[in-house]
Amino acid sequence: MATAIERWNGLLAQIKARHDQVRAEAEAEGRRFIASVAGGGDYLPLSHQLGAVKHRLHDLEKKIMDTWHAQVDDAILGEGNSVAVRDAERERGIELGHALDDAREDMEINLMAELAKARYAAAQAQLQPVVCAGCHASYAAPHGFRQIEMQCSCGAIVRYDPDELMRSAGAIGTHPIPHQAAANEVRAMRAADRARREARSPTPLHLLQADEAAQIAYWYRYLAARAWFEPELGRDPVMEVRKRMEQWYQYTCEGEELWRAAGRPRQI
Amino acid sequence: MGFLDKLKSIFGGAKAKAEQAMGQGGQQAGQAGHAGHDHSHDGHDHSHGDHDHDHGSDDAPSSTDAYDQFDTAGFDPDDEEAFFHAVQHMESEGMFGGTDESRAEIMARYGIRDRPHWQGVRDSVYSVLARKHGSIEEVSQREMNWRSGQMQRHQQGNTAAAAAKGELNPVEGITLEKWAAMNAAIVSGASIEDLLKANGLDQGKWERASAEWNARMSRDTTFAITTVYGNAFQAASQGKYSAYAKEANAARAANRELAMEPPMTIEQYWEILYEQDYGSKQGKDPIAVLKASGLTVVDWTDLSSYMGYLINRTAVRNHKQFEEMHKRVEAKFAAKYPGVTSDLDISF
Repeated sequence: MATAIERWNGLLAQIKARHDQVRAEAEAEGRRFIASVAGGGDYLPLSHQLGAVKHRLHDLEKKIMDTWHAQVDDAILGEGNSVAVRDAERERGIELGHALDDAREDMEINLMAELAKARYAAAQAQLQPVVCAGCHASYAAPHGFRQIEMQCSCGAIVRYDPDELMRSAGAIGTHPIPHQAAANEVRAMRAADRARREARSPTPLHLLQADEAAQIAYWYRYLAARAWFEPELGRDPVMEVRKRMEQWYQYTCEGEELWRAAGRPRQI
Repeated sequence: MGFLDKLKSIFGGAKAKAEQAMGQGGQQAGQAGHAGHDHSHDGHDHSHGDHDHDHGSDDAPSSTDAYDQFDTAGFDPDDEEAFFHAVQHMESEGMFGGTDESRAEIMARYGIRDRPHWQGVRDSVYSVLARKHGSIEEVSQREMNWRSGQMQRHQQGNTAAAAAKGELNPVEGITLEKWAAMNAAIVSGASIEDLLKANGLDQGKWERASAEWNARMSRDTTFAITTVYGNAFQAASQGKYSAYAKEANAARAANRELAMEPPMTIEQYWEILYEQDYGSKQGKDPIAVLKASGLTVVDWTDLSSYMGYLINRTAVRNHKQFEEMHKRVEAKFAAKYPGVTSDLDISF
């Protein structure tokens, strides 16, 4: 008869293997689908299918701590293990849950970013020069996902009007491309957020500040990449980041006595 | 945490506290301020909500004895808003919560000596209110409604502030309300070309306006723009539940009860939510799932606005029925879609 810890290890291994397998199948299926709609067509079935996969992955992740609370905790202590051993095993379950949570989040972002890049490449291949209706001068199509008005050397207004494919590349990529560009910052931000949440109240100032710094780093990287889609975001990056942090300061930090006692030391 | 758990947690276990205090208040209805009441510790539950309650020695008098005595201090039970305001400041931090200064002011104003005294007073006032309104659930509902009103006033202040800063000014001549109405029409299936023509707009103007409104909305952390947009979007709705959405928005703005009878029971609405959840688990198109329930996206938005508000105004008061209904629907859908749950082979 296997010990409780051996069975716990077996459960974690099974969950990880199944999670990896479901993701790998979803990614392969997703890539096949992306290839079929890169040049146009309805891509929403991909979102729906990913929704179902995410539900399943989430249920697998949830199974870790649900099983821990329902069976494993008592079984480990019941076999005479110390509280320290029990806590270490619990920590392993939590860590696996976090790793799988990150992997699930990455899966959808990466596939949607791939779809946007594939559409953008297809749209670029079809780009036609912009021709002035007045003097017939020809201009290379500018980068952009929206209509752009330019002045021709003859004084007439020349319009660049992105086609449906270019517009859809912009619509699909607006979030996943910059989020993927900030992948390292995303990981750091999620880790800092978990560390802060797991701390006992009152939250130590250094954990709040680490979370704050990680979020600010994310927003700078994310918004710099997103400005490619939405140029107005590049006008005043500090203001854009500060605006996005405001809610966190209000709803998280204002409730933290150590942060208030330190004089509300905002980094931005 | 489920919806009901969230609702319950908002009040920090106030129900348990008041039920207990109701018992005490009932015993001592005629003894308010009677310091020498029999204070048996046998069978006495010391867990008043989430506060530790250490009496030290059973025989030695301590400051926490005040906690167990019926005492409403300076609170007027007919002014429950003042009491709810005090609870919010004394029991919570953050945006709507208290500060050291506000807590000191409240304690001075109502004659609260210390933290244990406050806990006893709080439970006593809850017990008086529970008797007045018939149940602690009713009191909790009233407290939640009061908090909703407070948030609504705060949101209205945010909107006024956004307007003062020019964030609601028209873009390319397109007001936020016009932009919302046009988006509502697009979602309902109108041709964008026809809409632009009817409104005297060209594609470029429309795109620039949309980009700017989206940018303003994404950096608006007070949700002022989103709120105005949402109301305008629903005001423009032509869907079969549009009148319900308008009524809900009006009721929410005035923090009042709904004046229209609901178009369906909360259980029927809950079943639609479950259909969507199970549809999502199966990778179905959410619009097709709604269609199978006889709804469009606009219908669903309007219906949710009304039913969401109805639930907010009733779920605390009727939480037992709500929980029973929730379990009933959960079981019904588990039976209806038995093959949806996967990975049952993995076990400890």
